Amino acid sequence: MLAIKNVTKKFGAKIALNNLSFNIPTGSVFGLIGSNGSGKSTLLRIISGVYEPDGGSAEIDGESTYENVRLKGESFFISDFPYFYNNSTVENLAVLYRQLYPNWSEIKFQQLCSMFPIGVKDRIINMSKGMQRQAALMLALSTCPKYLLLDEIFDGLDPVVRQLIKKLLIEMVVENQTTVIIASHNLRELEDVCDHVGLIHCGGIILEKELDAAKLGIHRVQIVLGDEVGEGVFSDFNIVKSQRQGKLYELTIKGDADEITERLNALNPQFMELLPLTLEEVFISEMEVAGYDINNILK
Amino acid sequence: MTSTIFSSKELKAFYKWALGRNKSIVVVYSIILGLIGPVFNMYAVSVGSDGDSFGAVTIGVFVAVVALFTLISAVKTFSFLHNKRSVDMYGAMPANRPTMFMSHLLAGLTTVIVPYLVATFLVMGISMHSAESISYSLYMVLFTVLMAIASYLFTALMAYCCGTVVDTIIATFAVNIIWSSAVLIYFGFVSDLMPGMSMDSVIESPILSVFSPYTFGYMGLAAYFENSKALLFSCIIWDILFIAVAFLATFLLCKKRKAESSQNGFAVKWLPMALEAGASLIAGALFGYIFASTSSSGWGNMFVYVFWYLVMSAVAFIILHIVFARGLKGGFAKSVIVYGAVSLAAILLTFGLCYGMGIDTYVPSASSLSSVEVDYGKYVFKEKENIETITQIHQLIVDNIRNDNEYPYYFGYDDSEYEYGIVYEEAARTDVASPYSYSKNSYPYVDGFDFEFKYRSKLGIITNRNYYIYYSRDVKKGYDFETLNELCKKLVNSDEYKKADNAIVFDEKERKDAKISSVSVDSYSFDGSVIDDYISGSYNRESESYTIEATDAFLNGLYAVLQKDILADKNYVPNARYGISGKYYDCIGKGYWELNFNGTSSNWYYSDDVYVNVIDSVLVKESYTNTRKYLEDNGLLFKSDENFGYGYINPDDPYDSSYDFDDYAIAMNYYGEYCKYMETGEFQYFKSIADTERENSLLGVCAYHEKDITEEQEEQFTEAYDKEVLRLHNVLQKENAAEGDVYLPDSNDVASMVAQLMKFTFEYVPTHFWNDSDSDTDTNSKPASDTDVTSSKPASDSDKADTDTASGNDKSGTDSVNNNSKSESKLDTDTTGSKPAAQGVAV
Repeated sequence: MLAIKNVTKKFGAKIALNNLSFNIPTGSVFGLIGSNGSGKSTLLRIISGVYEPDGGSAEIDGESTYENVRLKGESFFISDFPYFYNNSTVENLAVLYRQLYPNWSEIKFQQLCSMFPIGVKDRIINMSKGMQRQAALMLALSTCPKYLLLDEIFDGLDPVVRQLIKKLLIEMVVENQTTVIIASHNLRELEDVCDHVGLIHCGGIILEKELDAAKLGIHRVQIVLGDEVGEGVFSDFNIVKSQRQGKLYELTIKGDADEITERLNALNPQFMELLPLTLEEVFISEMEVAGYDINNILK
Repeated sequence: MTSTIFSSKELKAFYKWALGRNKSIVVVYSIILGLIGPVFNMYAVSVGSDGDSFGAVTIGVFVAVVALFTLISAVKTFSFLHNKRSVDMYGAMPANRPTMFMSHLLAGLTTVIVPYLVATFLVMGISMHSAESISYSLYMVLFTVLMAIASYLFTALMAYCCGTVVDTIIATFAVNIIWSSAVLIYFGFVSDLMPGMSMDSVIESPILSVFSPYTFGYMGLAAYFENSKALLFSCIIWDILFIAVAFLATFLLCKKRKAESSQNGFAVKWLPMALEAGASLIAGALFGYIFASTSSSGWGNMFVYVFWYLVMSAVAFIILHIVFARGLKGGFAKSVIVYGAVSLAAILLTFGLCYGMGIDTYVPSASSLSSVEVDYGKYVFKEKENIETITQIHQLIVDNIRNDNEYPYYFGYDDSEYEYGIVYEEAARTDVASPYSYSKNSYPYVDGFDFEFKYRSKLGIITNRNYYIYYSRDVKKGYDFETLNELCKKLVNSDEYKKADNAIVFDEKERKDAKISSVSVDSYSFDGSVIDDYISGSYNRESESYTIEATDAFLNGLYAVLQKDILADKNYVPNARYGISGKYYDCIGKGYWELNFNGTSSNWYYSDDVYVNVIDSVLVKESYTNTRKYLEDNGLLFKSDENFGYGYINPDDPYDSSYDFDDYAIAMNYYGEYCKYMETGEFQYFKSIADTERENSLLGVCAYHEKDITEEQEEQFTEAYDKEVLRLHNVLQKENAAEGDVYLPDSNDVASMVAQLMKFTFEYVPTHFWNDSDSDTDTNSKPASDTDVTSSKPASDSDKADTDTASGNDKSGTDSVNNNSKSESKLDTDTTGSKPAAQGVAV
């Protein structure tokens, strides 16, 4: 299990992560979401051992990841802008990684080479953004990591490759019990692949749970009530957001779906519909709760 | 967590990876190194240079190329620290930071050093001819490799301190330049400000390059050419120490450096402030120094210095801050505080230095010293008594200076004008102080001399002092030259001095190194041979001296007697080492021999494209009876006649010692012919030689009596001397030439003339200027050893001549000439030529 324990990271006066704590279960696909500058990439860098936290630690099975060669050998981090030297090719990088990563699989590497439309002897720097990511991912998957940290991995990838990558990630989780952490703003893609999700905002964790639980714990309700219903009729509900158009109320309510349905039915609605939220809607809702002034941003 | 500092598997992987990244650099670097050899070879051939100098130049150029590529390679290799994306890549890889640092360091050093070594040994193979040049090359290889390692580490350290490539390059250059410049400027103006201080400490130590690793190679080169083992050793030690410290610092920093520092200016926050303060310091000090030098008063000097310091240091500070902080923000307030503190300290320091800070009057206590080197290490004194004498000399000099000056000092204090003149002080005659010699009409004139002390304390601390004393200037200030003389004389007569001065006699290692193959004797009597050298320019006159093969038995015997005689000499005269020498003054008119120990191997050295054979010469005085007897017994000295002293043996003519004067005769004939041709007067040819002799005679008599004459007295003497020359000339002309004709003298005439003129001088000067009516008595009162031979001569013709001349009666001189027939001697001396002057002096 990967444990984030009271991690704090400052850049000068700015606090990027503030006493952050949560756990990521082994073998899960963890979606790290949050607003811009919320600290997702910083957290990934701390987990991968690039940055040393100013406080707390990122631990895998009780060991800190910072300057831990063994744990790093079992992890792989692909940053939002993977770095390649001018003369780097998949082939010569494979030479380096082969020596560094104890779980390097030549078979896997050859399989991936045949799957992705990448010339292994081509200079990566000359490739498109999407192809560079594919190259990075080919190499990452060949190391058979136990922890795979991906920052904006779907950026610049075409839908086919995105599907391919999602398939490969799920296979890896199944085969190797790999823990995958993906930081991304592409919530639709995350929704497809993640089983856990963590929402970070302003250096703190807002939400961290199974994706289904996250999605099922919050609902959008459209309800039409009679004229006699007063203003405080929903005061007992955990309303995240409410909107009224005449008799029609559109509510975002946290809680168990059955319980909410039962309680709303008790109000004798003329019409009622309870709909599941997409991850994006969950994200927006949670962010609003956290004070993220979406309306102002969208103005 | 890894249990080892460096993991070999990762080290190897990253080493190969980093090496591969430097492939392009290696290719370019190797091509340049490969071209240097042939290009310089072609150049050497085109200018007719030999292989050794070509090799030396090539290696010198190699150092520059290595330094350049060290910088390029180091900056490129460690550029992974300066890009956030590469930091992500490297930081996440399974290797700890020390391994990452070490692997990149080793790869970089391989890139720089291996091609250099290959190219160097190839060049050495095709161009080196002598062991000397190979030894030089190997030294350079050592220093270049040390420079490459130190510079590489230093640049790596700067790379870890900085967040960008540009800042890394600026910081590397800045530190290298700031340090060297600051050392040069501050030592320069301290030596310009304070008496006794000099740049020697800078030149003789690696201090100049302490924080300038890119100059290590040339510092080694300088150390080699200085031929200073101590400097070589200290350079090597410092280089190694620097490498160790730089490695440790980089190692520690690589673990502590925050990864997020990349692309953020500086990882070590105090570095830019230090660089700004350093740059402002040297800019302020340099301009302050330059402008202050225009003022010749203490306070004016200070005011100008402070003003320009503040102006120029502020300009430098602001420019550098804008460069480092990309504007005037970015910790400007903190930087100003540091700059202000450094400026205040620099100004206070300069104030202090103008008041000496006790440095100018500091004389180490003799008890704290383990040794003192004098005259640039030529003499090393370790005996307590001698060390005390030296500190007394030093104290006397300091007292003289302080009695004559007021604080504050000003720049250029010690640049007072000096005058040409003649000083016969003991210090100048000895090698304790090196006399300045000036060539005036091809004759040496001595006015000033410098005292150079290098104290080594029992703790190993070295203190250098160097004083310039100008007799004609400082005697007017009331400097105590009398005491100075006495102290120098005491030092010169110490066993340590004598042993050092005669290393070939006392030092077994010196003997072994010299590989003496033969010993020859040159006989010098009176002033003849010395003058001969100047007149004829025949440097190789010694080639006709007499030589004996140096067997071990002969040498051992010779060393034994020489040691005995030298140590017993209570009025020791140092051996000549340079053009102007102690013997010149002290032995003039006394007669001595020079023993030349001719070496075969290590005495050769290379200078200005010419191989020079160094001959160790030892002076044998009259008083060295044991040595003289030994030389006699071995056939190197022949006592031709009891009355005429010694000479070298000429197998064809044992009495031939007039050789020296042949050159005079040739010169005089030349002048005579010239004068005849030009119709410039019959007397001129004679006078031209006599004029030269006059100055020499004057030197001799002053040296002999250890006194000096004033300019007015010299004019008076010259007038009298010219009359004497005319008188002698007239005698010759009257006796040998028809009316209106010019007689061209032969060598005997010249010898006689020289003797007469010397005699005249030795009589005239003491009696007229020093109220020394009984100068003969005075002369004879000198140690018997100096006058043995001459004083033992019968007072015959010479006596008469002396008496006559001393009385100032021209007629007496004429009489003496008339009393001798031309077939024997045209004047009043005997025909052996070189000896009569000696009689003239001694009797």
